[in-house]
Amino acid sequence: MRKLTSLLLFSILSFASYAQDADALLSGIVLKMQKVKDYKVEALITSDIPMVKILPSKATIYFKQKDKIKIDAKGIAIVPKQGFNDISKLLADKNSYTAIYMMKETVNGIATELVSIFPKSDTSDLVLSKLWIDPVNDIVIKSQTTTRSSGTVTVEYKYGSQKSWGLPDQLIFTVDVKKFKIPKGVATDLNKKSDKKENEKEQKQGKITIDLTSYVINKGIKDEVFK
Amino acid sequence: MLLKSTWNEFIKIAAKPRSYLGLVAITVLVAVILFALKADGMSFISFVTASFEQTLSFEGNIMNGNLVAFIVLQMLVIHIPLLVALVTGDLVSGEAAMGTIRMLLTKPISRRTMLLSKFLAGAVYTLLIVIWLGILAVIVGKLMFGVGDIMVLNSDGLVIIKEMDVNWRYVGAFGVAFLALLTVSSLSIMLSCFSENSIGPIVTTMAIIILFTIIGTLDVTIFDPIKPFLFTTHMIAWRSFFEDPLPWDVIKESSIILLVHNVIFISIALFQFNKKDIKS
Amino acid sequence: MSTHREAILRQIGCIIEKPDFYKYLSAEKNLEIFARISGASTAKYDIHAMLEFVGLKGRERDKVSGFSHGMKQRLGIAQTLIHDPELIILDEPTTGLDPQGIIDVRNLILQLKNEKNKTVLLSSHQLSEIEIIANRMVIINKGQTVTEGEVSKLLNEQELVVRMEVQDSGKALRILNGWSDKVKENKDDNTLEFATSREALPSIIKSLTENDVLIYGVESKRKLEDYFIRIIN
Repeated sequence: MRKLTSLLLFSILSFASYAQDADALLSGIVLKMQKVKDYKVEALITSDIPMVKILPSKATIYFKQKDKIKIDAKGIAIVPKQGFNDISKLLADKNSYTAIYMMKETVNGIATELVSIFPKSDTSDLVLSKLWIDPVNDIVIKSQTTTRSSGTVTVEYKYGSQKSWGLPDQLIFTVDVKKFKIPKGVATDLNKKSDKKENEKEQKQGKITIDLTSYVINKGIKDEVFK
Repeated sequence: MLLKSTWNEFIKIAAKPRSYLGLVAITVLVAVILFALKADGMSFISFVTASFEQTLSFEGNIMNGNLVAFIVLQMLVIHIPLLVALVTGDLVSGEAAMGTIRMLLTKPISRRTMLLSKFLAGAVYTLLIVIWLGILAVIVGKLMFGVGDIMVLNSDGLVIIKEMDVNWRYVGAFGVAFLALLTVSSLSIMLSCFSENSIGPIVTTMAIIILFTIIGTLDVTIFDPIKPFLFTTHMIAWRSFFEDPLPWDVIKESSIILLVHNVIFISIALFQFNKKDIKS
Repeated sequence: MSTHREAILRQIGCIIEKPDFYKYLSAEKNLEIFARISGASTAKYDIHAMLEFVGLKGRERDKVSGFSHGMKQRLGIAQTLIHDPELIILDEPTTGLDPQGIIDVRNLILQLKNEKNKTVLLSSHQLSEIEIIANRMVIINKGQTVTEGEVSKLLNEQELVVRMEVQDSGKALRILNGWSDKVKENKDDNTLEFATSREALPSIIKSLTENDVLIYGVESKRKLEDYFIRIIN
């Protein structure tokens, strides 16, 4: 009985310590994020989405604390609806979520700690967010966010020159595309190739790669830019 | 002589009020479409992109002049044949009804030259209609909505074409659209050779277009073998210029089928016109 | 005809049936159109000169839709002349015209013949018109040539029908019976009608005056109509 009690006690303790770990990991990230008041960056967006043909397009992305973001595309750019600044938005309000430490995992050769985040509100669009965190540099290496509206979006972050600011050089989004349907009657063209369609049905995930260069950090951005 | 006679045909076309009906109608239609898109263009786009927008967001000036021109073309290419036939369907039968064909053929000009000059004049009128549509759709569209990449929905998905890659596609698209309308012009002139009144060929042309279009859209297997040979099937061939990669084989096939239709229509017209009794 | 169609048509100007024009175009535009495909000058000066010749000066820019039948007929003749052909073929040019129109067109045709030295081939059922206008005539019945020759000669071979107004028709009748076998007397207005040859007419008149018959009027008619009826029968 005592044995059982001590085991139970141990597990409660260890859970508490894990929770502590998760919060510590996240606050490290938040601290780093808060150092960046604003930034401007040039993006090259390369999309590989089934049923969408688009050449890489250029855009300028503006960000300002705490959740202002603006994508200024030269032409038409396709970006994921979710996963851009959701993490910083989410982490900004510490009381809105519960974070649980899950385990250690190696992602792309980097030792990471996996933290799961659940929203406290039942009505939140967010269902679950998983963050793979590099504890050494306090940066997110990978995230996976599941929302009611958009399914699951996975983002891989690659860092380079702006690692110290916690800003990535490359983002690779993987999005669910199973819901894509072409409205019937809208498209009427000549070369309807049904076999081609079938092949594309099998590919259910789209990949959008955003290469980020020429960061301009903390130089001040006027609010008008975001209007 | 062919050119002189063609010039005569222009004078006649230019003097008829109905010739301007087409240009005015296109102007009004395009103005209405441009106004509607200016007022509520985004809802039109979201209707097209609805299924994508749950997970993706489209950034940039989507409702730009290039897309507007595409929408205008899409909406009007089906209606312009009527405007073309209104003029071309009258070219022979109108003169037969008036009696002037008798006067013309007492002059030192062969029937073949006379008829070919009418085909030429019909072709130039059709070209003018297409150019006017192009000016309104592309140039006015760009002035009103600015330039940008064009997003087109095809049956196998969305295609986004870079702005710098768009203009030559429009040249090609308008070229194929012209070829399609030229076929309508040739058809109506051919029918015009069989008629003594001007309303008959116009109505018959439209009836044929409507019939062929219905056959083309019906999902009935019995019609499948003839569908590729209906000229109406190829009236939307201009859209192929907004696919990626460009389906050259489809464009080539459509162009050839449309050209063959023109040759057949002109040949039948020549045969009929040569044996036509011009006396009233 | 089929092999040299255009070369032949270049020498011919014609109106078949009735002159039809582009009603929505002006007289000068109509002429310009026909001039252009005839290989003739489309210069305004030439077009206007032609319109003046047919008496349409001042109406050059008016739309044909407002033209009377006579004006259209004259424009039709202008159209036949526009490329200066040798032969002009007119198909019943005076049909449906008012009396003034008939005179205008008839004068125009005479002008073509006399001033412009054109050969005019005229088809008509108006025999009196042919009598006035034509030098030669061909009578065609059911596609067959019935007779052919100079109008004056053909008509001179025929008897004249003479209508005479006299003081005393009874007395005149007795004298005339010696000259002609079919004399009709109308006692109400003292007139007589009889057929005779052209050559005999002066002698008949002389004989009447010698017998103290007072003559108030003599009217002689060449009976082309009778001739026509007789010939085709």
